[in-house]
Amino acid sequence: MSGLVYRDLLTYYRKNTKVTYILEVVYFLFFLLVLRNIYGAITFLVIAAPISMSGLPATMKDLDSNYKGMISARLMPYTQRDIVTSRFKAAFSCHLLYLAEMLIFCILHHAITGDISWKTYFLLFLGGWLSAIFITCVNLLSSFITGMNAAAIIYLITTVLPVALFLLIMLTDLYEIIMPLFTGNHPYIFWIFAVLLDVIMVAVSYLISVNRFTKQSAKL
Amino acid sequence: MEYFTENILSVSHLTKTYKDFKLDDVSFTIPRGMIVGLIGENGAGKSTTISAVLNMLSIDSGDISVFDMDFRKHEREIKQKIGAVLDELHQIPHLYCSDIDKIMKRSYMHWDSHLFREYLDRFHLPADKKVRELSKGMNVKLNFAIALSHNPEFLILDEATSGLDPVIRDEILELLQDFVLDEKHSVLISSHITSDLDKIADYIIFMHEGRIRFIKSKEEIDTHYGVLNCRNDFFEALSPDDYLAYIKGDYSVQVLIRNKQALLAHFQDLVIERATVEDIMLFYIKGVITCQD
Repeated sequence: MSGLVYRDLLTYYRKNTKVTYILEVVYFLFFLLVLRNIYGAITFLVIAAPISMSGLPATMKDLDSNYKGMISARLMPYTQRDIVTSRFKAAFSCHLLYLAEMLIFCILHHAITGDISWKTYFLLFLGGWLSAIFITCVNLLSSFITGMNAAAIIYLITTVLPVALFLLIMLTDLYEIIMPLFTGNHPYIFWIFAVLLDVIMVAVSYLISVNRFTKQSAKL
Repeated sequence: MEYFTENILSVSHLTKTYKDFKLDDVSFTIPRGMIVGLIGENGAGKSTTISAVLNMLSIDSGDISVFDMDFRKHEREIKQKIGAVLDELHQIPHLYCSDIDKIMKRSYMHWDSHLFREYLDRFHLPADKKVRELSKGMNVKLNFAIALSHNPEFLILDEATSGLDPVIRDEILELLQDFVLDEKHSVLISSHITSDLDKIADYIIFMHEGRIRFIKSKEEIDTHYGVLNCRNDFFEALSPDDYLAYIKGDYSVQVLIRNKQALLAHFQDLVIERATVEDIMLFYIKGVITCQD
């Protein structure tokens, strides 16, 4: 199914305009050079990068619905299960570029500010990636079980909700309560729970997507 | 229909029920080396039949066998050998024609990039243009280039030539005739452009209201069928065994003759025109059918 994965990734990057990539660079530089403190690092690594990472399912859903992309895929030599699996693979392959971007951010941010420990960078990196995996699974699941409008709304919620939660935590006393969970004496329980949650979410979203998609009929 | 030793497609008692429509007990086979035309009015069930053959929808009952394999169990292998061009189904608009080559060679075992580029040149399709910049006709030509470039054994075309200018349509029809020359490949073509089927089809399957009304070879249609325009009094004199259907006008009757040679033997001065595929379709839909053939 490498053809389908390649198709999804190529389509995703072709669909993004130059403006999208310019904005990515602007966000990167803003949080690196302008807001160069722990809050900039948290915002970029835990909020901005995960939201960017999880965009492929919504983009492909739009193409599947408006340009019959899914019917084209059904004509190719793949089963319906292959199509779901390749979409999941493409969505998570998309993370690699952003993970590299996050890593470069951590290195440059440390070089510029020097006042955050590598352990904190690692935890922020891991937290961002885990939340990206969760958001990506939600969007993948919605792309296979709902229509285009519902999938778009869910994508919007997964974009706005993390930002809203982040602002709520940073601007209230919740920051003092939540941060020790990540960086306190025994943070392992939380991290193990977060990883397990993601593993379960990936499995559940995949199985439900396969089940629902194999029951659908394509409309010519 | 004659039964050949090897069929590329066998559809047996296919049934699919929707709220307002039923594809009812559809059975037919497509032998190797044949071009089979599928005709019928809008809503007759042609696209539903093709969807079922391509495993794009779940059927209520029946069996579909392609290359002697069950589609549900051998979907990947079957689709490796099928090329499909469907109406209004174009490639992803943001991709370049050259991107499609890279995608398809990762998908099809027998994808031929050289052949694909030859078709792009032949159809005057620029490799460096995005799909969304191509006209409708160019998109159809691109779909044909893709369908033909992985060396398929079976082509399925659903209204594939609509939107093409007559010159390129003629070229496509020639391609299809060349495609079946080796008698190992077949084509199933659903089209409203019945003149195309008149030119190239070996067999015609006519569907109406979800059922197959007839399956006839083109040779049989050309040899035995004819259209007679006559006055009412002459029509009344004909035996019902001489014709399949008729359409009564104000001053004349159009009659679909089932055995024109026999009728001409009795009435040598009769002018019986060749029955085209379109004629037969119109008689079955708008005419009075006197007997099932």
